[in-house]
Order: sequence, then C-alpha cells, then structure tokens
Amino acid sequence: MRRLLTICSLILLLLGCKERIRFEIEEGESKYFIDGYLSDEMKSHEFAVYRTIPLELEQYQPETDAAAILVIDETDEVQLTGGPDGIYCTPVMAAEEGKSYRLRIVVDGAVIESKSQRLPETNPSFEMGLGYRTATKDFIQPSGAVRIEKGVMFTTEVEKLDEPVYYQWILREHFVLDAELNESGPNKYCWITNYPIRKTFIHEDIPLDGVTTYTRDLEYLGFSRKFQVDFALEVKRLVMDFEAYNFFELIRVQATNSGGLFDAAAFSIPGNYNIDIDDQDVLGYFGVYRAQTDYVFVSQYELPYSLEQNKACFGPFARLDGPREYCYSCYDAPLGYYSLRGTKPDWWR
Amino acid sequence: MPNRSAFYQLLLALLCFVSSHVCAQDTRISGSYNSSLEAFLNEVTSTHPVDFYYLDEWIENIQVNGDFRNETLERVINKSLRGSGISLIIYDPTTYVLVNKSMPVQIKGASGRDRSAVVKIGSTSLNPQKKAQLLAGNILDGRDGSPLFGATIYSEEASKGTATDENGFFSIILPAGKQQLKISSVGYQDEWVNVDFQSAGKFQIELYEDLTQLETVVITAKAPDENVKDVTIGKEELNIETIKKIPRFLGEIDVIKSLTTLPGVSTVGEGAAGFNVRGGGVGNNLVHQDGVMVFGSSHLFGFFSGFNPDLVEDVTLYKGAMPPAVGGRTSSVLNVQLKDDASEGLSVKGGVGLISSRLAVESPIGKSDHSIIIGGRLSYVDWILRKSQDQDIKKSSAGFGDTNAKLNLQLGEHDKLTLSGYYSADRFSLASDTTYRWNTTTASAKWDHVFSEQLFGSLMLSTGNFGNQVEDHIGDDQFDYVSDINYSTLNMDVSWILPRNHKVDFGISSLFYTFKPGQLIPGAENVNLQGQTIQDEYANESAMYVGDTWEINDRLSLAYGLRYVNFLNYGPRDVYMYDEGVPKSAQTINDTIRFDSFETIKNYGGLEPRASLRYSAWENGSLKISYNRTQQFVHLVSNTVAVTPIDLWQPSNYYIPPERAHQYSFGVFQNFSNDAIETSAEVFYKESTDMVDFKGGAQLQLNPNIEADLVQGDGQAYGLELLLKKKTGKLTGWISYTYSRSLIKVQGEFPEEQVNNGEYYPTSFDKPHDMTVVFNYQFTKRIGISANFNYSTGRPITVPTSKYRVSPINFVLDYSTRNQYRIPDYHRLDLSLTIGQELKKSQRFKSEFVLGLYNVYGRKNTYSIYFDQQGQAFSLSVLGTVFPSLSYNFYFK
Repeated sequence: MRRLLTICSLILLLLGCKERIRFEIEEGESKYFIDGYLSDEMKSHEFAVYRTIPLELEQYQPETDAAAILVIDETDEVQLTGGPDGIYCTPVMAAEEGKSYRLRIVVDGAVIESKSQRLPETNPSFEMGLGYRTATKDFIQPSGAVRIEKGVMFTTEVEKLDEPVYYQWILREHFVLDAELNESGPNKYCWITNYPIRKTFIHEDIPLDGVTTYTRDLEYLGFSRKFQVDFALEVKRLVMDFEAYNFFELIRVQATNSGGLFDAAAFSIPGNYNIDIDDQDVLGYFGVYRAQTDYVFVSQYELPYSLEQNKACFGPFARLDGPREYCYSCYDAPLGYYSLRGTKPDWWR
Repeated sequence: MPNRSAFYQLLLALLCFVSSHVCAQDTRISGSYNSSLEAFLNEVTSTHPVDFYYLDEWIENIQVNGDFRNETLERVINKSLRGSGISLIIYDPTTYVLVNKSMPVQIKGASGRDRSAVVKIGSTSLNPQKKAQLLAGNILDGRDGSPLFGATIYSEEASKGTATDENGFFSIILPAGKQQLKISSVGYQDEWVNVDFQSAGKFQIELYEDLTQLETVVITAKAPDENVKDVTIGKEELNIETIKKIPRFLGEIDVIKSLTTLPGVSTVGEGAAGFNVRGGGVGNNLVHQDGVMVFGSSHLFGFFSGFNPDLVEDVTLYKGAMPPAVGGRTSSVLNVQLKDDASEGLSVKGGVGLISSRLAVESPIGKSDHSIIIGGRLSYVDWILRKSQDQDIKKSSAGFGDTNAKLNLQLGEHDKLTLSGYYSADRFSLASDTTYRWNTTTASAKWDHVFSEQLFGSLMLSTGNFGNQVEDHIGDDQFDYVSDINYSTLNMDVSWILPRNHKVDFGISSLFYTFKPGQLIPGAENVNLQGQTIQDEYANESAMYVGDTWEINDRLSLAYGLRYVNFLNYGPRDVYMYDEGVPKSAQTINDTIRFDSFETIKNYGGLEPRASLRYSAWENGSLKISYNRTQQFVHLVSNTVAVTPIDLWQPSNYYIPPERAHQYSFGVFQNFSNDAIETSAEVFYKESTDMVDFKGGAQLQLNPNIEADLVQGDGQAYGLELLLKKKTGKLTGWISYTYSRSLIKVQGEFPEEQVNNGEYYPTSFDKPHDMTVVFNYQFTKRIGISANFNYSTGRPITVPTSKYRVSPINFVLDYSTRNQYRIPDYHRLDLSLTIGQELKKSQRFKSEFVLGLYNVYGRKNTYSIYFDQQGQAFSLSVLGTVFPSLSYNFYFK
C-alpha cells in the first residue's frame, strides 16, 4: 500500500517544482548514539560512541573518554579498548550460541546500557548462492528518447525455513583498473574497493507451503569500465531477530518518506539503549547477528556485451559511450576509493 | 428561479392541499337557525373549540337559515356562503377562515420595487387586540399574470408557511405585527416583502423568472436575516450558484473545496482530500449526499469533488450546534442536497472542462407528477500523465467517473417515494503494472408522508459500499488486495408542529456496518507473500432523538434536544489478549477470545444533549450560544497528513473506545443595509477524549492487531471566526477570517504509547490563521468576474533536527517531536471570468464560458516538504504556477 503513496508523491514531484528551504532548528543538546554490532564472525568488533550532529555538519563528534564494557550472560564483563577516535573495540571474539550480550557505556557520569541480546534463534546455514544474469534498464533522456542500458543483475539464493528469517544484505563493490599509463611498467593494475557501500537492504523471508528455494535480486549494476578487467561484488549477509529487523525497517521507511502529504509522520526512531538521565534519549541499536560474507566475480569477458578495447585508461565510472576520462594512477584515484595496487586480495579469484 | 429546497416547497404545498380535509368533520351542528352569519359564528365559537377569521363587512349581509341535524360545520357555513363571493378555508381543525376573493389588493408587483419599503396590511382599529389574522392573496407569474401553482409564502417570524393552489391562491393565519414574507416558486426569483400586518388582508404579488443566471437553481432556504434569526449557531450554507462563482482549479466546480472558503473550515493542503472543521480531522466529518452517508467524497486523491455540481442543490454544514437528528461524528455534518425533482420540466445541462465532462437530465415522467433525474461525469486526465518525462508515469493512466440517478414518485397528496442511486469510481494504473481502484456505491429508498399539516415524516432505507482494490498481475510480485466497508441504514424522522411556536423533531435510526479491513491474495508466482485476511468487524450504531425548536418570542428562541446512541461491536471475531504491564504488541499476545456471531464484544453508548439559544438583543442583531455533545464510533485511521482512499476506517471495539467531544459556541450576529450585509463573530471551544492517533512507525494496513499500533488521546480546539458578507448588488462576496488551534495530548500508560512525552502538540491540521476573500462582480447580465484569495498559516510538520549513524548507513536523520515546526505560510489568488449568452427568459438553450486563472501570481506554495539523506529540506510546489482553464457549460430546457 505504501507504493501507492510513493507513486502519488512521485507524480506530484514530477508535476511540481522543488526548491530548497531552510528551517530554523532550535538549538538543543545533542544526543548520544552508539553504532556497532556483535556477530558470530571471529574478529574484533567495533562500537562507535558519538554524539549527533547538526544537519549541516559531516563529522560526528566522538566521545573519547567513555568506558565501554560488554556484559556476557549478565556476569562476565569484557572491557573494550580504544577511544581516542570514539571507536571502542572488543578483543577478537565471536558471539556464541545461547549467550546473552549487553553493551554498557559510561560517559560523562551517565550510564548507557543496551537491552540484552542473543544470536537469533533462526540459523540459515545454507550458502548464499550468489550469481548474476544480464539485464537492461530503460532511461528517459531529456529529449524524451529512451536509452536502454545494458547491465548485470546480481542475485542470491534464499532457502525457506520453518519460521520467518530476517536478513540484512550489505553490498560493496571491488574492481580492477588498468592504470598502465601512469606506471613505469605494463599491466599494472589497481584493485579498488569502493568503500561507500553500494547498497544495504533488509528482507523478511516467510515460510510458504510448496516453496523451498528462490532466487532474489540483489542489485542491478550498469555495464561500465568497472567490468573491463575484473569486478567483484562483496555480499555480507546478516541474520537478525525481528526487533533488529524492525529497527532497520523503520529507518528504511523513514529514509524514503518524510514530510510529504502522503507520508507517515516522521519520528525519532527508538533503539534499544537506555540512559540513566531523565528526558534524554540514546540513539542506536545493539544487535547480535549471524554474519556471512561471500563474493561474486564478473568481467567483460563473461558477458555477452562487447567492450571496445582501448589501450588508454578510463576512469572507473566512464560510460561505454562516454568520453575518455583522466587516467588515474592507483594513488591518485578520487576520494572514496582505496587502491590495492599490486596487492591482490586473498579472496580475489 | 428555484430558490430553496424543492422538498420544503413540496411539503408546504402538500400542507396546503390537505388543509381543507383535515378533521373538519369533528365539529357538527344541530338546531334551527335564522340569524346573521356573524351571530351564528359567535354562537358556535362559544359552544365549540373553534375560531373564525373574517372581516365583519364581508359577512354583514349573510344569513344562516335552516334546520340542521348533526351537520358538519363546514357544510352549514358553505351553504350560507353560496353566491356571496366569500369562501371558507379550514386552516386546521379549530381554525376556520372566511375569504373574500374579491377583496382589494394591498400591494402588487415585485420587480424593481423598493424592497426595504414596509407594506401595511389592514388596520389596527380592526384588530385592537392584535390577534393572529388571516392573510390571503394570489401569487402570479409576472410575465403574463397567470397563477403560480405550488408557490410558497413563508413568514420567518411566525415560522409558518403555505403554498398556492392551482389558482395561485393562498391563505395563512399570521400573528399581527411587522414581519418579513418570503415568496418563492420553482423557476422564479425569490421575493421578500416587509409587511406591517395589522389585521386581515390580502395581497397579490408577481414573481419573475431570473434572467441573469444560467443555472436555474438558486437555493436560499433561509431568509435574508436567517443568520441573525436562526437559533442554530455554526451552520454554513452554500448554494450551487455561489459555489459555481468561486474560481476553481482547472475549471472543475468543487463542492467540497468551496467549503474551505468559509470560516472554521480548512484543508491540510491544496489537492488534499476532505476538509477540516474546527480542529477536527477529515474523518470527524460526516458527509451525507441526500441523507445517505458516503465515505469517499472526492476524486483523484482529493483534487476534485465527488459530487456532480449539476445535480447539487445546496450544501449545508453544521460545524457548531448540530440538530439532534444527526450525529456519529465529532466535528461536523455536511449534507449535500441534490435536486429533488424535475419541476422545471425537461432540462439538460452539462459542461466540458479540461479534466472532465458532465451531463445531467431532469424530466417529468409523462404527464404525471413523477420525475427522474440522471447525471454523470467522466474524466480524461491521462493527457497530463503523458506530459511526464518519466517512462513509468508516461505509461500510467488515471480516471474517475460518477453517476447519480433519482426517481421521484408522487403517490397521492400525502405520500412521495424517492429512489436514489450513486456510483463513483476512481482508477489509477502505474506503468500498466499495479492498478488501484476505489469506489463508492449507495442506494436509498425514501418515503415521505404527510400525516397532517402539523405532522409529517419520512422513512428511509439506504445502503452503501466503500471499497478499494489493488491488483498487480505482472512479474514475480503478483497480488490482489481488497478492502470494503458495507453499511445499511434505516432512518425514521418525524416533525410535529405544536402550538405556541414549538416544532418538535423526533426519530430513530439504526446503522449496520460490516468492515472488511483487508484481504491479500498473492499471485501464483509470488514466492514470498503469504495470503492474509484481516478479520471482518461488525457493528451496529442505533440512535433515537427528540428535539424542540421553540420560538419563545420575537427576541428569544431555543433549540434543545437529546440524542441517545448505542454502539455495538459484535462477533464473529477473535479478540487478542495481551500481557499486563507491558505495551501491547504482537509479541505480548497471550490469549485469544472467540466471540460467536452476534455475540457482543463491546457495547458503548451515551446521551448527547444539544442546546442553542438565540437572543435578539437589538435590531438586526442577535447573540447565540450553544452546547453540543457528540460521539464517534468509527474512526479514520491514517498516519499521513492527507487522507488517502486506502486509509482504514476502524470501528470502536474491545480496545478502542469511541471519541467523544463537547463543544461550546458563542456568536454575535449583525446585519446591515436591510440584511444586504451580514457580519458575525463566533468563538468556540471543543474538548475531545479518545481521539485516535498512532504510534511512530505504526503499521496500519493488514495489521491483525492494529490496536497495538494505535493510541488515543485528548484533544483541545478553540478559535474565533469572523465573517463579513455582502449578498446583493453587483458586487457580492465575503471575507472570512479564522484564528483557531487544534491540539492533542497522548498520555499512554507506557513511554511507547506516548507521543511527545505526553504533552499537548498541534495536530497536522492546526493552522492558526486562515483568511479567505471571495468577490464576485457582475458587470452586465452576461459578464461577471470572480476572485478568490486565501491565506493560511503553514501546517505543522516534523522535521529532522540532527543526524547519526547506524552502520552501514552513514546518515540517519533524527527528528523533532511530532509537529514541532511548520511549513511556510500559504497564499493564493484565483480569478475567473464568466461570459454567458444573452439570457432571455424565453430562451431554451443557454450557455456560458468560464475562463479561469488559478494561482494568478504563481506563488510556489509548499505542497509537501521533502528531506534528502543529509536532512536538507526541499519545498515541493505542485501547483506552483499559473493554471489557466477554460470550461463550457450549457443548459437546455
């Protein structure tokens, strides 16, 4: 039903005109927020203790003098280390079946404590079954003409269990660029990770008679120079309980609906942290998730599309029919990318 | 021109027709007489409970001679009157009127006369005790002097009226003194005559066709000073002629939007469905079309009204004092009265606009008194969607249509049967993919019966359906979704006119609901969608009422009444039980109780006292005060600012008590320039309990335990409404200004069930300042210009105030408390020019062009505010430019 409202808003948006306005936001005390989760991956888990920032700012304000403690089964306490940048890390560990976890933060004399969480009862042990297929997408040009873009649709396999399973998928791009013109020798490649995540989304899978497995689309990616040498989509799958899923669902809904006549009234999304100071809220959600990571690789040679072979280099996002771009060296790549020149990741095929 | 509810005229006519037949045989005469008629009448008066009205000189030479044995008084008198030129009218069982058909005319002619002049009738010397006296006369067609049959004459001061017979003759007993008479006839201009009625007399008046109006219906169910004299406060009336003159979006006449030009009535945004009255939500308004409840009163999400203007006669909105006969909503009752019969003979009218076209036909059936009215509208809005650059929207389509049919069967002098039907449908299809449909269907049968001049009533059976469907039959996510509300109502209403200026109304009603909140049917290929059916809910809302309107004296009138309503929520239904001490949620359900068919789940009810008092403290002015208690048992549950067709109507049930409101109103009313200028100032205060609101993130569709997502709170609304209105002359129009607040406080037991920490906060429709200026200027009979200017405070909004991170999402917006901020103020000017053909009275085909400019100075009013991921706000102006329009209307008789 939400779609109808979205459509209405979209139509009105297209029929109407948009201009930026500014609200005079009353100055108030910023709120604490805690960002991070615990998973069954064996690693050091990070929790950021920050304060909210005004809309026009970009950098969060870290709480560097906090004490962070992970309470396990209400008895054991694990002190988290770090803090100068507001990031507090657990020792290398993994959440274990049956144990409860709670995060306690002491900051400026206030005690912030999460609700006790466990790994979700549902445990989809099956592999993700990542794959892809060729796909197209229509774009309308300003002239009204329709441009059909070729691309790739990445997919995953989902097996149904006897009870609902709540997923979050986090997708990140990795690709290889030929940067020979800026290097002394031939065939010098950059392995590039696109650090801002490509996409994150949640999904509720429900039991359904007669259906055991199905393929679900993850993300469409238009064909570009990213595929020239090799491309990898990193897929992290988190399995969470209903409360955590609902928290992310509220964020999702609120991110797409806010302020319109046909939108639900926006609100401050409650997490599962409490603070021992009246009339103060703490934002964020302490979750304990099951995590799994896998990769799907694809290059132009595996696709039915022809890519013009050109010795000149191209920027990573240059369209096939677009002009040549500046040739980046691995070190000069634009912000947001991290070069792994000459260092092929362990997981790369 | 027709000038008021044809129903009311019909009723008066019926009263007149039956007047000579009612109970006259009760008074019988026996004995031998040989005396003057005057002596005879005096004797009868002393021995029987009857009164006679006549002038002495009329009967001074008339004798009563003969032996009578149990003869009716009527027969005895008529025998005596033979050949005398005097006739007898039995006004009621105790009132006998002798009429001299040749008595001189006191006034004559209407057109062009000085309407402020007071016409003296009779002489105080003939009526020193100032008793009620007879007024008789003729109402004629001013064009050729032919008698007008069924024309009405009405005295507001006496609250009495009558209608002419086939000879255009009328007679009526009126109290002595100054009063204003309204003379009306369908198809003719109204006339108002100020009379100083001193003793029995007669006058003749001529009515003329209205030559300047294309539309033949002018509804003025009220006297020029009714705003002052009517005891009801907070009652707004608009006739269709006035509505048509208000400039409108794309030339589409909008009955609903026109209401928002009145004080105390607003909307959350242009194009939003419904209207808000005195701090109430859209769902707090009860909308009736010809007395039948309709849930969907607009098309295309609210951009256009759901009522065909060619069929609408008038619109009445009760926003303050509600008559005890109506209830069920806490804010207002809107009655859209459609034309009642085809008294003008065959006529065809219609119009062609940019968005839709319409056609209506009214016709008598043969030479009988029966008639039929049929009308319809059809839209063609796809061309707008095809202007879009977005491929999906380009492939989309939308449309709406509606049709009305009404059959009037005159079953003798005392009975009338009216059969009505209405169907309205909207369709919206996105990219040939998902199709949304919603529709309203109603049908009714109404029987009006006149028991006597003093007692008349109606019985109405109606049924309706409001449903919506969503279907997607393409791709992997195929599904069908349906939801419905079915309702059937039985109403019986009786009016009884009693001595000493009492008018008592009483009746009963019973309304049966079946709510089908939603059924989801997944398509065969859909692998992750479970079919789901939300349980039906059944309810009955029954009421009985009695009310009295008492004209205590010229200065003081009182309307008071009592309405009792009983609401029953009954099975079959499973009701969830929740854990104690924690907020209700799907996770805290611990049991289910099964209620069988017709087993009571919850019963609510209560008395609704209503009272209004008018005191005319000075000339042409009055003070009014009223108190109202109302209850609402079905709730429009929406978590969006503007309501949508798919919003849920939720009955009160095990967990959701009814919303109850108390409203207090006080007003000062003053007219100037012989009632040509009206002014008023009203203040109101309204308290509500159990107003339905929602938790943050509430899931309202397909939610089997929706009570867990709803909260209820106390509301508070208050305001001041000012109106200045000019009704006559070349320049007409009004200026209305409203200052009002609408607040709500939700104090749940748990923090999760509170909104804004349990403090009062403004509702989404709280707009403190709202001003409208409407002007019409008639240059000539053919050309007129209209203007409409509106200013209002921006509506409340919840905005992001800061941001935080929930990995991997880098920016999550944190919002203010609910409705803490406001969108920019709104103002807009519209103009329209109407050019009609030379409208000769004999002309059978008439037409007009209406040129419109909506938003003349292209103000980019904020329709919505959107926020990007960084929380930057953008104002979306949907109608942020000048919208010209051209429409063509025609009328054929």
